[in-house]
Amino acid sequence: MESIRDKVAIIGMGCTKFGELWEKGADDLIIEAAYEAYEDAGIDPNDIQAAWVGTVASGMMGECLSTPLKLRNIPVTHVENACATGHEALRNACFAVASGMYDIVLALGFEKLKDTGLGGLGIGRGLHPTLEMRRTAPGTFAFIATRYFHTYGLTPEQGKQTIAKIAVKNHHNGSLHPKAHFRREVTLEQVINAPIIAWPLGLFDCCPTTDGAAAAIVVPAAMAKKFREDPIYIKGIGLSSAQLLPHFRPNFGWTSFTVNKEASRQAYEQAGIKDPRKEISVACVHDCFTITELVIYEDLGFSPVGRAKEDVDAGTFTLEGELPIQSDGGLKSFGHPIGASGLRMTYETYKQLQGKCDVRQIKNARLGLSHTLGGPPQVSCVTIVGNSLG
Amino acid sequence: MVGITSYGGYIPLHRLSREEFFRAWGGFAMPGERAVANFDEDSVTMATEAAIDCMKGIDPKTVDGLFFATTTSPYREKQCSAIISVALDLGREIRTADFTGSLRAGTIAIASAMDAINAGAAKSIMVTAADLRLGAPAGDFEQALGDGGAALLLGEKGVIATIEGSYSISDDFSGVWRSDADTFVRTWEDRMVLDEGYSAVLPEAISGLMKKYNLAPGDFAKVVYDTPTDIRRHARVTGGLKFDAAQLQDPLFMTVGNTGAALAMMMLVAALEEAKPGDRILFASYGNGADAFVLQVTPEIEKVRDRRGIKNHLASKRMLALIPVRSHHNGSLNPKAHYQREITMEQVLGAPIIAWPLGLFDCCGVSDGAAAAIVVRAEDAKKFREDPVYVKALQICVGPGEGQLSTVYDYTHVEETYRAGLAAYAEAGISDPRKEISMAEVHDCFSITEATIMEDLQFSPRGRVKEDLEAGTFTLEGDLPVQPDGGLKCFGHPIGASGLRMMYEMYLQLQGRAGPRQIKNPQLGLTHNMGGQPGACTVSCLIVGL
Repeated sequence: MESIRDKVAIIGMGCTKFGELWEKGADDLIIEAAYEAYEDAGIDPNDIQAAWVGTVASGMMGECLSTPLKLRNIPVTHVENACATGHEALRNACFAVASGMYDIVLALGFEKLKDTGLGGLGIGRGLHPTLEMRRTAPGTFAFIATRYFHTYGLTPEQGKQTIAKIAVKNHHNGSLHPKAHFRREVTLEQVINAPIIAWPLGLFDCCPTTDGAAAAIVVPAAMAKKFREDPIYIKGIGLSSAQLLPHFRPNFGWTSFTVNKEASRQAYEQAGIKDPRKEISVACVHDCFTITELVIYEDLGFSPVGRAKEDVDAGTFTLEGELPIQSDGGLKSFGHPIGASGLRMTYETYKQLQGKCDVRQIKNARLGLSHTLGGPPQVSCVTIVGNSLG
Repeated sequence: MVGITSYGGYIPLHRLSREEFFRAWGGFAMPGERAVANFDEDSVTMATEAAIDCMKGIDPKTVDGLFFATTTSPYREKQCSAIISVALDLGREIRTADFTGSLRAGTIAIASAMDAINAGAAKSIMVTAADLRLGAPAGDFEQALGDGGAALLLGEKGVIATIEGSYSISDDFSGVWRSDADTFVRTWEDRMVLDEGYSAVLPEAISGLMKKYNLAPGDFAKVVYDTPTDIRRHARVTGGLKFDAAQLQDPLFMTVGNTGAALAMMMLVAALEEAKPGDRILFASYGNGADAFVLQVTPEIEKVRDRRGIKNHLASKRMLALIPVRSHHNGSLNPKAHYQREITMEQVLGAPIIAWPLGLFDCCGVSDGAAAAIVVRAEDAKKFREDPVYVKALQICVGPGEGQLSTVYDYTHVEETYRAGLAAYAEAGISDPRKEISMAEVHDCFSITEATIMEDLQFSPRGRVKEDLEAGTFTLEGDLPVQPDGGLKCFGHPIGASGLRMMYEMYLQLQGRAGPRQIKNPQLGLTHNMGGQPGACTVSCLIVGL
């Protein structure tokens, strides 16, 4: 096996404003994200040789991308891998470029969830008729929360307060990003006292239903500097799929996800990262619920197992902290158009590594990590990018 | 000498089995089927189709008249021959006329054109005819009538059949009629209508013609005259005239139905399609009198054999049926196929319609299934097995959805398939796909899809897949076997599995493990997968080899 490290680079990215975009259709979002990426890369739309499009609920095949973008008869592949879909589009684009088949490709993720009759995220397709009767995403992650609190000795109040701090942090970061869905700060009291969705998760512990799109232009690393001075290189992409829904596994601990550990292990190995907490400059992780972000700290090796609370209390993951996480507001505040999310996160790490994040800018950012977790959950993708070769 | 210089025909693709009338109304069913015009067709469009067929290779500037014969003009006041002449681009300085009011309007138009040319008033006149008559629900006419059109070009140069002579009778008789206000054809009691009308007047005209030109029944290779609603009267009418049954031209009753003013001309087109130089043809038509002509076929007839005419229109429906019959045969040899039963042409053609013209057997099944492949680097492959199968080309093509928006998309090909094929052939270094590809599994979601794929992948020339289907090119024993495992049609179509299922068959075939379906010594196999709709779809095209 080879590593993807330094084989390909991102030379352009685009991301729409996220939100409840009643005035826009899927085609509008695709065009907006793609053309921002074309412009950022300084390429012509006709330069695109192949494309990957990620969507879970807004398109069936490559044609959903080729029609709005008028991509004439080039290969366009539709990929879908639950909440890891956006990352999956990028991952396939990177491997295709690395194989030498193509030189300039587009990876685009989008989702148009509002105005399409969708009540909200959370109830998946193909649920087990008895074992998963009425299972919802908030319900599943609420189990993680209660079990985590129990296992690591947090009282319900302590637990609720810990995850509430994550929501407060993410809303703060989102308030600084002009493209975020929610741009309003929330207080600890508001989060704790919000209506309960699935105890202990309240309204502000859950990410929203959002419309949006994000795109990336990928080229071979050797060609990248022809396009721009500051290309961003792919350092590692890990993907892991579980072989059984975690909640059907008798020994499932409900405090962590194997797929997160395995996907990050692959990515760290490819990128040559030994101590992620020290080496990663900025991370965007899959905070579909606040509790998810908490266990991700541990699964990805940012916090010791069972002790993420200490880092939350210490402000380790705030913009000013040791390892800023969700510098753009995360799923919680930036929003979660499923197919777009992996690329939206990469958009943030890309911009951070280029030093273009204004008030949210993290100093001396060198390596950025993005992470998506999909399904109930059983698929995880970790993508690491860097701003220099080697 | 004046004569026919070209011919053309048109029959709507939709044929309705007369059994369907029995199912709907009860009572009885006449045998065979009838042609039914589509909702967007009328006598003008059908006559135009026939005329376009007739004009193949002919310069419109050389035609200086167009006559249109029908009893079902879509206009009471507006000249339809003018509409048709515009569609044919005939120019303005021509004579146009509509002939109507009689079921022999077609032969009256022919006689008039003949007279005009003989008189030197015109050099070449197009005579078109089409009819779309309605019979009352649950009546005989509803089953017996049919829709269709024909066209004959008359002139003096390049004559394929000279008009040696003619004879006409006029006879006022209220046998079959439609008044100003009638929607459906009306008639008096059968025996009176036939005994005093058709069966009396038509033989009178035919014997009058033979007497005038001193000809005997044995002098004719073919005798072409139309039939009344009661098909039994057709052969009986000439009993007294001593024609052989073999001389009589098929009145198209079993395949098309009675097409009114167009019937005699359609029958004549069918006769000319089979005629040999030197044949003498008796051509007659009945309707408030009768017209009869003596025609003599010339060697020029060989120059107009490329018309769709009647024969090809009748065959067009059968072309598609060849596909599922072949797929079911192959599927019957495959223990993993969804359907493992052979079917006949008759079953396919007689099956219930799903979306006309596609019937039940034109559509693939809804199936459960899965297929898988293990992929390694080519240089590592021999470590695993002696006979790995190598990927020679792997291309997908996605169109920008323009087909559905375009006003010029022809709906007879899929651009994405054509381009995916081009890219795959280039990648695999193939210059003559028909020769170099040994076998293929293509996306036969519907029989027509497979037919157009054969042309898009350059296995057959554009518009000519029919010839290959009829020649059996794509059968297991043919030059280029397609769907050796039964295809989507018979193996089934679990959507996500289909592309890999196709590859599984190519893999088995290349390794010589396909059992009774084994193709001899295959070198390259092609798989083709398509998703979406014509005009907006995704197509993949893979080529594998040893």
